[in-house]
Amino acid sequence: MVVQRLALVVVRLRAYVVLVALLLASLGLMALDPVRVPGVSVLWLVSIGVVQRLTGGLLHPGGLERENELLRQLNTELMLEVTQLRRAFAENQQLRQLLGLREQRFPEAVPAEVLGVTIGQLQAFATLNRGAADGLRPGMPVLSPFGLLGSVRAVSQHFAVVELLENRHVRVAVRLQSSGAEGILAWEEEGKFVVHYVPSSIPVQAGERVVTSAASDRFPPDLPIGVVRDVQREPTLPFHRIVVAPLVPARAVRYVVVLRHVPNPERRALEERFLGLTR
Amino acid sequence: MARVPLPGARVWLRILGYAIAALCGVLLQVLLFPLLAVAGIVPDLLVVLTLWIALREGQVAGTVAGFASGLLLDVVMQGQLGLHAFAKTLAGFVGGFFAHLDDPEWLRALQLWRLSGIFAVGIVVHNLAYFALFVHPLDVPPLLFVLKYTGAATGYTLLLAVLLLLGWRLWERRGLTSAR
Repeated sequence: MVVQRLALVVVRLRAYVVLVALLLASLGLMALDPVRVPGVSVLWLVSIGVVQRLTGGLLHPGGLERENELLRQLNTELMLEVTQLRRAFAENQQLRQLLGLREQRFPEAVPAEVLGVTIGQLQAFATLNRGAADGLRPGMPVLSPFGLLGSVRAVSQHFAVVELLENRHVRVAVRLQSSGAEGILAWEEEGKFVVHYVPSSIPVQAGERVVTSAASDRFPPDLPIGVVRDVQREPTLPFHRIVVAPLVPARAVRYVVVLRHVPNPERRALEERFLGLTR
Repeated sequence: MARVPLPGARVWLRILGYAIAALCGVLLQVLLFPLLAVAGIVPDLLVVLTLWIALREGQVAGTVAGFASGLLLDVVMQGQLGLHAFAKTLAGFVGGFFAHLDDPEWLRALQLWRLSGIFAVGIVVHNLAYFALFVHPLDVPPLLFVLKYTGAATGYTLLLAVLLLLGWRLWERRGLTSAR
């Protein structure tokens, strides 16, 4: 009798029952990180990699031509810089030897090809043709010939998914090269990043290069990201709102290198413990 | 010809048709729509499909279709798993409120601006849920972020929905004319 009544209620309210069940399932999936579930992760990554490999041409309309054009332009600029850098490098070598510092910051960078870029609502990811078999791990920084592109989010045996900087969720600790000011960089819209939390008392000029900061070890310091395009005042806050142009649009990049740098777990644990104490 | 309501003899054919439409929608969403991105916002074809299914088949079918299409998009888009599924489940449920399953011709008879209004309600609910879950702790103030992007994404997706509805109406009218 009770079971019959209950069944009747469920049938009458079936739309609500289905809604609640599916919303709970969605929230459960959100709590479940697919990267931590090997079966889901592999299926997910391989299917994406295969689809993007098959549709590579469609995902890069004119991308290769654009990249070539940018590379030619960069090549000219680099030629001019090479002469100055050679002299600086020689001086630097001597100074490094004197200080006993090690050469070669990234001796084991892994070259990779971008199979495709997926763009969703305020999110962008790229799939690479390298994976765990090549030594890639989540958290490793990914560089284009122009600068920092993002970090590895998930890996399968032969593919990796890169969370691009052009993603509303990504925050990067940065430093402005000339003024030395430090802030937090966030992507705002296509071709535009914004650096927050730089005190307005620090003079910042348009044209300054923006690089990764040593304040966080998520990325190695001094990786180029962009150039300051405009400096505004944050309304009601004592901070600048610094508009940064990326060095290159992520969608135009085809070849990258993955740095075998992972955040120091001891440092991260200490920082998280400290943040937990101050909350 | 009268529409066969769910459940019915041709139920599996209808489900198969929707599944194929969802797969084509995902392919378009991944391959073509990134080229239409404006300031990081892309129109969402699958929420339009979810609302269409909800209006034609009712609340339960719309809710399930929203979850399934959202999950498919979550897997393909590589973002937060469950985020699209959550938002589209809600959109399918809300869309289903407007369905009139007792009248097979109601969608054809409804004025275009009213139909667009129903789509607008569903898309707003979808985007509010999506961006409310997407907001980052450093986005200050969070409410402004949610409203700003909900407005932008709703406008863009609604434009797509209206274009598709216009196309459907024209196609229907042509079909009727040639039948006469």
